[in-house]
This record gives sequence, structure tokens and C-alpha cells, in this order.
Amino acid sequence: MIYDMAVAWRNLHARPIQTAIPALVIALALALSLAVAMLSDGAKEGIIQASDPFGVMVIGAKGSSQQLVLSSILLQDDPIGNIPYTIYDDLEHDERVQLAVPLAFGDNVAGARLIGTNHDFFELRTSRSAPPAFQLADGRLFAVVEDHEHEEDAEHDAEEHEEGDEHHDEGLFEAVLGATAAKDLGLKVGDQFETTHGFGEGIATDHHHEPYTVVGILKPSGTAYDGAAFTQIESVWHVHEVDPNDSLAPYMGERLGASDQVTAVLVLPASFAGQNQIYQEFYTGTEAQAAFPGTELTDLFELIDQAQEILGLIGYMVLGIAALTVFLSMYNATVAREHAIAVMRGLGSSPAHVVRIVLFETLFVTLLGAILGRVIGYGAAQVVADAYSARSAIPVPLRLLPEWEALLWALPLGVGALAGLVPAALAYRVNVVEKLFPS
Amino acid sequence: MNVTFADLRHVYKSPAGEARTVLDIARWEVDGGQQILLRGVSGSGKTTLFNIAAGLLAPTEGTVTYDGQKLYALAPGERDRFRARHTGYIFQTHYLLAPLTALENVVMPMAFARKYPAGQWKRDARDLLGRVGLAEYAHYRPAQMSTGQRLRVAVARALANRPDVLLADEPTAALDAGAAQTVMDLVQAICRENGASLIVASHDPALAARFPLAVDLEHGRLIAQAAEPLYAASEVMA
Repeated sequence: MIYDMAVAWRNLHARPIQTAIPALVIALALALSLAVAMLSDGAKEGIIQASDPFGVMVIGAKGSSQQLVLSSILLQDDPIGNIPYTIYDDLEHDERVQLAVPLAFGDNVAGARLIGTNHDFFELRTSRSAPPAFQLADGRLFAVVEDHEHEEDAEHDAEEHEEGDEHHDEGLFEAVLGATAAKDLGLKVGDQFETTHGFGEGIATDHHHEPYTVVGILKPSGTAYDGAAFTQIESVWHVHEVDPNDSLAPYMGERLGASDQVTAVLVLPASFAGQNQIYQEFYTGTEAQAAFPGTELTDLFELIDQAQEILGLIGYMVLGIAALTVFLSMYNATVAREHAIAVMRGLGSSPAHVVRIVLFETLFVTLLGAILGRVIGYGAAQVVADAYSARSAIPVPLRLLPEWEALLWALPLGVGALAGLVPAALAYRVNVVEKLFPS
Repeated sequence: MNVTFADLRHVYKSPAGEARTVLDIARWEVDGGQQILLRGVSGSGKTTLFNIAAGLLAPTEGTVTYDGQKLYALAPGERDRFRARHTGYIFQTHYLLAPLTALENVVMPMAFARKYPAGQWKRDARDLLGRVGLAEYAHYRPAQMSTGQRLRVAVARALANRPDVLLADEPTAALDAGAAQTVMDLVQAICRENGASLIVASHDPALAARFPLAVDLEHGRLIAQAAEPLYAASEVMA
């Protein structure tokens, strides 16, 4: 048996191109299936992880509820629009609400979003008993400056803040950076930066001239907010006080964090009943909508599953092509080697020996493809995951998929064995005398 | 090991469907240790006789018996193993396997026969390559060797399982006189050492002087058997 394997290996070695091509086709088929499965799994896990700290309900402008969730939790889409600050104010004082966090989007720092919020944001947790999801790694939180219309809120925030007595205008342009944003922007505590309008580097180039000072940097949270910068909501309003002469005025007034508006409110209801009541109120109201991240993400996962299914089918098709390639390669090799097979038979080899050698060759090719497929699959998944994480700050945690592992070994080896059957039968039926002594 | 061919007849069908008898031997006995030259022109039936003797081609009629064991009474798989263990075959052209080294080519029949423990295959193969003067070429592939060297590897391969009967089909056809003499000296010497019967099929008249016994095959029939051995039997076995 070992000798048969050695001869099979030697035979493959003697025809490297005919061995490498089918192995490579198998590898690509497996790599595609494996990378898609791992990325799909990692994307779901990453999204769950990234959405974990943000409560169970998001309030935002009427429109697509999925867009609201994606834009406010995963920072993946443009916000639908803004809603009046009073909605946040009401929710914050609603006894059915345990925690309400305002979010005002408006500007970016070299692609990193600047998010106006308050210190309640830093109270968000993955569960009641868990530590805060967003914790300082360095420095302090931004100061909260009293706002003329929201004095009460500002006072409340100021009490919680360790530097709460810094009620001065200079504090208006303080910012805390997410871990990824600080790294990508190369900023540290004490550095200053300027912002531009909009959500991406390409949306607008109109620079604000009030520089922000970095006062704190957060620890990595595993959420998209790692790639963002945070400041007090009043700061965003201040920057976007609409100047009628500003060419971006219409856009700013409606889409950006204009004064007395917020883009979304993250809500942690105090009870399940309260949650349903609030949802119903927004559902029947006209000013805003409530969306459940869990529901929207489940829908998103269904889309991911569908995409995975389609790509999986493509993977199976490529594997089918790979099987044909292996079959053709082995068939041609066997036909070309009928004489050598006859020699072996002439020297005392049983038909079983030559069948084993041909089957071993096929299995070696598929095994080679299976191993190579793993290397390419894992590598490709890692590269794509890293690129996506770097772009979105949403982690894509990759893990081995035991339920796929067995299949990804069994499938190519099964395909290889099947593809080797006909060539093996051909080898079995070689007419020794005809091949060795053609008349 | 004695080999007996009895009532042997083999018929081929021509493409036109016409039956043609290529071998017709009433009885022929080859004693253990005998060295025989089988003479005959091309098409006389030498190769067919060898294929039948090796168990590769079932005769239309008749039997081939090795020490009482009827070769074609064995199942095909058993016959393969019997061939591997008891019969060596030197083909007219070397027929070495191109992907394998000289050493691996010699080991191959050992792996098929499993007559000796696997642990000694490579050692025995190296010894044999040394005997045929190719110790230095153990790791050469056939494409890297001359025709004469390939034939010597084929000789070593045919002797790998110390066969009881060695069949050599025109072994010197592709060699010059000097190389042919070297190869034949070697084959005959090793067969003597092992006590193996040797049947060499050839129409090379230069070989006649080397054999104590010559048999002529003409149109499939053994028409003459040398009445006077060139050597005494005792010399053959020495």
C-alpha cells in the first residue's frame, strides 16, 4: 500500500502541470466556499458584537427602519434625516425609559465621523451588570457646556463629569476619539483637528475653522464607534448654526446636525411593556419612527444568508468543474500510461495494484487541492475581514467552522474518488499483451 | 522449478475473422536450472510462448505447469502473484517506468510479489544494481541513462524476486556486440547462481554458442531440439 502511494506520488511528480491545475481548481472552489462561510459567520458575529451595547430601540426620522439602524448603530449608511431635540428630551424624562442617548451626526474628521452626544453615551453597556462598553484608555471625557435652551440637561451632564465645573466656551470644542480613529488619524490627547461637513471625505470639503482638541481616547469596544470621534451635542449645533449665505445651508439645515435636532436617540426601555408602548406611539405618530436593532439585523442576516447561499452554489459549481478537471486529467494520464500499467502488470502487479495507484493519484490531487484551498480560503477571508474592519471599524471575528470542516475534507475527497473511478477502471482493464507487444 | 508445456495451442483471429494458429506445442519440458536459447524468426511465436509461460496470455488449449501447479488453473489475481514471485521477464525494450529511479524500478516487482520483507527491498535492489554495474546510477531516471544501462536495470528488475524462471525476449536486440556480451554474461551468471531456468528468445546467431541447449520455433511449432548440448548439464549447473 505504501509502495502504491509512493508510485502514485512519483507519477504526479512526473507531470507537475497536469497535477497542479486540477489541484488549483479544487483549491479555488474550496477557498470560495470556505471564505464565504467564514466571512458570513464573522460578519454576523461582528454585527452582533458591534450592536450589543446600543440598547434595544432606536428612534430616528421616518423612513427605512433598516437604514436607521445601519446608520445609527453600524455607521454604515447615511442617516435618513434629523428629528427634533424635544423627542430626546421627552424620552429622557419618560419614566418608561431607563436610558436615552442622543446622537447628532454632522461632520467628519478625515473620514471618521464626529458624533455629538452627551455623557450618557458612555453609560451604554452590553448588559445591566456589564461594565460600560466605551471606556477611556487615556485622558478624560469632553466637557459639557451649558446650553441656553437645554440648561437642565447640561447641568445634569455636568454633575456626572469629573471636570464638570468647566462651564466655559473653550470646552465646547473638546473631543474624545475612538481607539481606531485615534490610531488612523494619528492623534493623541492634546492634539487638535479640524472637521469637514458631511459623513465622508468625499461628501464635502468645506472645512470648519474651529479646531477640536483631543481630551480623551477610548479603549477598543469592538463596535463601529471605535472609528468615530465624540463631542458634546452643543458643539455640533454650534458648528452648524445655519448661515443663510453658506452654500451648504440647505443641506446642513436638513441633513446635518442642525441646532435643536438630533439624528437618532438610543433608547433602553425600563420594561418590555414600556418598550411596546413607546414603539406603538412612534408607529402611530408622524415625527419619528422607532426601530428594533435586533429585528432589523435579523433581516440583514437573512440577506447575508441569501448571499452566502448564492455564493455557496457558485462554490459547488466550481467544485463540479474541479471534479471534471480532475477526471479529465486522470483519464488522460491513465490513457497515456496504459503502456506503463501494462509493464507493471507484466512484472506481477495485480489489477488491484494499478487501480490503487490511480485512485491514490486522484486522492493526492484532491488532497493537495483541499489543503491549498484551506490556505487560500483562510488567507482570503482574513484579508477581506481585515479590509472591511479597517474601513468600517466593525470587527469581523473569524473562527474555524467545525460544521464546515468535515464537509470541506469529505467533499473534495469524495469528488476525487468519483473522478478517479473511470480512470481506475480503465487501468484495471488494460490489455497487457496488446500494450506490451503490439502486433 | 520444472516447467511443462502440454498440448499447447494458441489461435489468433485475423481482422478478417480467420483463425490462425500461432503456437502448437505437443509437449515441452524445461528443467530447473536449464539455460535454453529459443530461436526463431519474427512471427514464429516466441513472444506468444513467453506471454503464455508468464501467465499473461491464456492459451486457447493446453496447459502450462510449474512443478505440478497448473498456471491457468489459478485465479487471475493468484496468477499475477505467481508471476511476480516465480517468473522474471526481460522485455525486448527495457520498459522501465520513466517517473521512477533505477532503484525504484528494481524495487517495484518486489513490492508486487511481497516475497521478501519490505525492509530488505532497497538493500537487495542496490545489490542487484551493483551486480549489473550500476551502483552509482541508483537514483538516475531512465531518461538519464544510456540504452545499455537501461537494459541492465531491466535485468536487475527481472531478477529482483530471484525468479525460478527467467524469460528474456530478444534482450540484446538493441545493443552492440560488446554490450550484448556483457549483458548476457551477467544474466547467465546470475541465473546459474540462483539455480533459475533461463529461456532466451532470440534470432541472433551469435548467442547460440552461449547456450547448452537451443530450441527452434517455426510457425509456432518446436521443430527441432538440439541433440547435442554445447555444454554438459553438470557444467550448466556449476
